[in-house]
Amino acid sequence: MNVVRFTGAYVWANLRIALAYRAAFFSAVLGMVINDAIWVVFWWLFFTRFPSVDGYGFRDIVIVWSICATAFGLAVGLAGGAFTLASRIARGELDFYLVLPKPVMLHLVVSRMDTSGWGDALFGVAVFAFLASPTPMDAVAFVGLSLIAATIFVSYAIAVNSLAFWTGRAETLSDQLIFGLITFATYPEKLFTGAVKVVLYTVVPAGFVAYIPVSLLHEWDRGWALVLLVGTIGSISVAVTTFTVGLRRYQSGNLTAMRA
Amino acid sequence: MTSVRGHGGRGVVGIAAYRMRVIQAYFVVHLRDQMAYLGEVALGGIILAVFLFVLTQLWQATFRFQGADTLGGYTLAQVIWYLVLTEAFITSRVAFARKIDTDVRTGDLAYALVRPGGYVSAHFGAYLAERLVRFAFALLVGGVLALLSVGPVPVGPVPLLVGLAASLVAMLLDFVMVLGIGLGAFWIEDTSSIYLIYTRVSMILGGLLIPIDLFPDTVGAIARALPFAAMIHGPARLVLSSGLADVSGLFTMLGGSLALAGGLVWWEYGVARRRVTAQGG
Repeated sequence: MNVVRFTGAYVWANLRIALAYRAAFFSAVLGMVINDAIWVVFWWLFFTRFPSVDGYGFRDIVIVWSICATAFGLAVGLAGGAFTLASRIARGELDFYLVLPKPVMLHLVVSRMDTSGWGDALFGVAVFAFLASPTPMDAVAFVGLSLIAATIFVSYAIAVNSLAFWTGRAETLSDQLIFGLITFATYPEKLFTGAVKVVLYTVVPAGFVAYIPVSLLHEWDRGWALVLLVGTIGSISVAVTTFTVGLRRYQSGNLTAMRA
Repeated sequence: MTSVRGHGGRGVVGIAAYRMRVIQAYFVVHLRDQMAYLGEVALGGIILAVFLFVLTQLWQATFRFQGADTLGGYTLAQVIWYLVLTEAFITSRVAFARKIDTDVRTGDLAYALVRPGGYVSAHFGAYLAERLVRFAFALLVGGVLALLSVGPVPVGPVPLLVGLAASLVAMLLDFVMVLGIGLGAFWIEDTSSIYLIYTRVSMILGGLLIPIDLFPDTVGAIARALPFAAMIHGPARLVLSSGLADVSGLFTMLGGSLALAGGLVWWEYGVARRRVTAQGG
């Protein structure tokens, strides 16, 4: 309960800081909504020309986008620190967190908020509500599955950013890997077969972020729900292990900074 | 060391020659900088490879499902090479609007303006070096992937050279537009969302992911009336075509857009310079 209160307090504080620059906050949110909308326009253009590709239609891709956008938005909005971890490790900025009586990884993760994430989340929810014609049960499932997918996004970000403990600089690599995950997650699963599909359920967990949640939204299946649960626990375990083992290699920087 | 001598003469010609030397000097310095960090540029190739792989899968499935050899006049191999060319243009973009934005907000612009050589010339030299290195690298990575997945397509030397020349003009137009967005920081708090919208709109209406020939008629007509199609779709289409049909229309659109955008940004820059205030500290 203490952890939940701590996380909530940080998120609230981050939100208040962001809202101190109201124009920048709302322009970042609006910019991201338009960015996401442009991708849906791409798919609309595509499916207007080719109404179905291997059984996939416009509504299917709308659901994929709504889940991914909502999950990614929640991930960077609530735990933006996971996505900037590599640069903070490289600059030796973890000292502040190491001396405080709070879980280091959790503290680092919730200490930053990417305000544009709220644009993603807003877009995802709006698209699902208006274009996917959901029932009340669909809406409940959508919220639950988005939270699970957000957890996997954050876990993946922690794992790939923690590579900086070994490589020193890993900002570009981690950004590319996260962008790769988003790219694979926002295209139809049926496009990928064989070894690529294995990769998408292991190294780049697009299957857990998008494919299984979307399939569960279409049709509830206890077996796939269990696979998703195992995948989520596995993602969290990989993130915690990578961070904890990597932290033993951490070296402080000589940068002097004041935190007020 | 690269050195830039003084104006070297009076009048417009002398000033233009001086500006060219400044651009050249910044170009050389930033080219060396790019070469020193080729590993960083190479890492950027990962996402290009992922993106091209996913799009190749999408278009292969589309051709298979439609049961067609050509769609909108393109074979599968031509669509993939088209994507390589358009992706190379997009992924080589340099987001220097953020730098201008920061210069304006922090007041650093006031110091940059008094340096010899000119603020815009300095940015242009740096932009060109970074953009050309990224563009060449993206073509290399994309070309290898396309060769491995669909093999070569017939390309004539003249359409290839004219297409690359059109891409260079398009890069110049892109520079002017991004400069205009960055200078918008004189009036609004943060221009990053405007830049994001610019990149996304140009991606869709420029035919990055779908050739404009495959757009619905109305949207295709709107896209062709805007400069983005001439910047992204036009050069790629030209390289893959067997002749030089529509080449005059392409360069007219690029030249006209460049003149219009250049005039507007020139006026914006003049107004912005009068609003410069240096902060203390």
